[in-house]
Amino acid sequence: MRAVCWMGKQSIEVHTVPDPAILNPSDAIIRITRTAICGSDLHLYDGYIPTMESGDILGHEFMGVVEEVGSGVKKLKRGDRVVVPFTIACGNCFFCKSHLYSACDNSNPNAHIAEAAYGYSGSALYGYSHMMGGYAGGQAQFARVPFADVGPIKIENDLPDEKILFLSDIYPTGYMAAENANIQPGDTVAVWGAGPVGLFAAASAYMLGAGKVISIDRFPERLKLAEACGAFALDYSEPDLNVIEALKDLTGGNGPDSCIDAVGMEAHGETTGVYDKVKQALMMETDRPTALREVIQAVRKGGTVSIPGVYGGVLDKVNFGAAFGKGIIMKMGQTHMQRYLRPLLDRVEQGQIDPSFLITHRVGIEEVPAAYKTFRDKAEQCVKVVIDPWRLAA
Amino acid sequence: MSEVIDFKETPLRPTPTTGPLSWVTPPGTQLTGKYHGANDDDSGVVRAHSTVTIDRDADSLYTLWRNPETAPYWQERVQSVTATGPLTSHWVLKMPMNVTVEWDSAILEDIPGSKLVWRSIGGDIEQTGEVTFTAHPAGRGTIVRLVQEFKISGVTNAAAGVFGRSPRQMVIENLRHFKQLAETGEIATIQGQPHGPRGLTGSTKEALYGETNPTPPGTRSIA
Ligand SMILES: [Zn+2]
Ligand SMILES: [Zn+2]
Repeated sequence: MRAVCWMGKQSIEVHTVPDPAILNPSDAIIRITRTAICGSDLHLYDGYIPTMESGDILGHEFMGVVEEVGSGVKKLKRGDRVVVPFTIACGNCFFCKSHLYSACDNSNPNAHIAEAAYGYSGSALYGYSHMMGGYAGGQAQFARVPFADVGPIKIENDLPDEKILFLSDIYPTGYMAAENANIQPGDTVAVWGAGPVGLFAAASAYMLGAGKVISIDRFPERLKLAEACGAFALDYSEPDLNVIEALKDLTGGNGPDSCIDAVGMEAHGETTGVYDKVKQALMMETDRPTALREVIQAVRKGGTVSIPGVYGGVLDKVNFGAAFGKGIIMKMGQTHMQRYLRPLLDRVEQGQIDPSFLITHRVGIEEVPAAYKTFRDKAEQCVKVVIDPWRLAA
Repeated sequence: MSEVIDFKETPLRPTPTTGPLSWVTPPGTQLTGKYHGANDDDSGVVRAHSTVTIDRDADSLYTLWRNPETAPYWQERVQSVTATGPLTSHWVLKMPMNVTVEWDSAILEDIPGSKLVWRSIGGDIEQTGEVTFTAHPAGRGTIVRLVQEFKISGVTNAAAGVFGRSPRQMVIENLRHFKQLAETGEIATIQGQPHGPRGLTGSTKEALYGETNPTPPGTRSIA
């Protein structure tokens, strides 16, 4: 099959590799019909996530048709149409039974690497470094899906792929970010980043009762999409605009009740940008927490900070005194995907949301390396790239 | 350490033995209930321990552990285990470069549903171990504590270096595999999945991360 491989920092190539096979009884093989590039794949592209190996197959947002199932699979059969969530969970450990699927104890074959870095290992993820399991990802024509009875959700409607593909990550991730923001009816919610996760977080904040959502970004096409979700668009690149001041003015002087950092470790920063870039280059700090500092500063007293943006390592100069001083609540982490698949699919089926609204680029698999660069540079007003892995030439 | 678990009830050190393995617990050593770190003295004895909570009852876990012939399904590099008597078994470990390590093992203490202590009684490796099964105080299954001590010969140590998993890490991984087998029926693996060209860096990292160590089959071979 053809597969998108990470070959080193900013080096993506499409290679012909063997088709995946069933390795464990609960595995399924999925013939992938649509897959996508995620903002978090850019951290891999830029080399900020350790423990990648050259030859790794990328991608964690994919859906398709069941091609083959292992002897232990009960709920799926060949021919079923499924969306696969990006967290791999066993369904049987304490964490899975507590619906903390992204903390699953049993899915990461390389748990010892994560234990060394984080103390304990979370669940494995597809195509997201060997610390996170080293599983081959879904930017390919086929993928092996472990614990197939626990992860994939069977699709029994005839909605097109593009309307349901984002159940694999960004739609639940944006939704859980809004849920983690502890929104009370009428609350004001500020969302840093109007990329895919930020947009779904903004849309979800309204679903959960927010009175006003403010989306913060600097790209006009992204701010336009945020406005389409009903959000007030704040362009932080406007001359003389101070985000903290602006948010204060927009919230009657109180500050937003909840702030969502949908940016993560590669924030484009102003104030301490050089400081972080230098430390990052020297590997003295792995992440650039500009957005995180701002959400902590902006949130109202006793408010909630929710962090769906990915952080991987060590942060420096985080204003923890402000967090403590205001007595804020912070919630974060990889999405407990399996919790959200059914209820969020229901919302799509009932027509409450059409998640395909943010797709800007549709490519065949051979064009993926170029698409990574376009997406990374936010060129051609790129917001979301969807891949047809069977379309070989442009 | 935790206030919930009374370590005096589940001693970290194996039960004292006599004879050739008297090194496992120096005479006069009392169990203190204190946390023991890794011992790095130069006696050639490596001690490793690991604790996990498994969402299964103690009896079923004890039963799975008590049958040594299931060990190849979840212990790394164990090629075969043959029961040679009610308390004894013969073990064959397959290491890289066709190095085979064999020994006989005897159970010293057997408390059904709660504790097993064993030691080697001859062969290529001197080792002793203890596993205890204690109900989790909040009903979250069973706390399984494993302690193993190895007296590593020059040959074995060299081989251990080659196969990229220290005996200490192997103990931790084996208990992890045991938990995975007990909770899910299988052992998570990525061995045999496709990938693009690894090149020199990719292959080096693969070995460095311990991914070239064969994953035990779990129920794959019996399903
Ligand atoms: Zn993603
Ligand atoms: Zn689990």
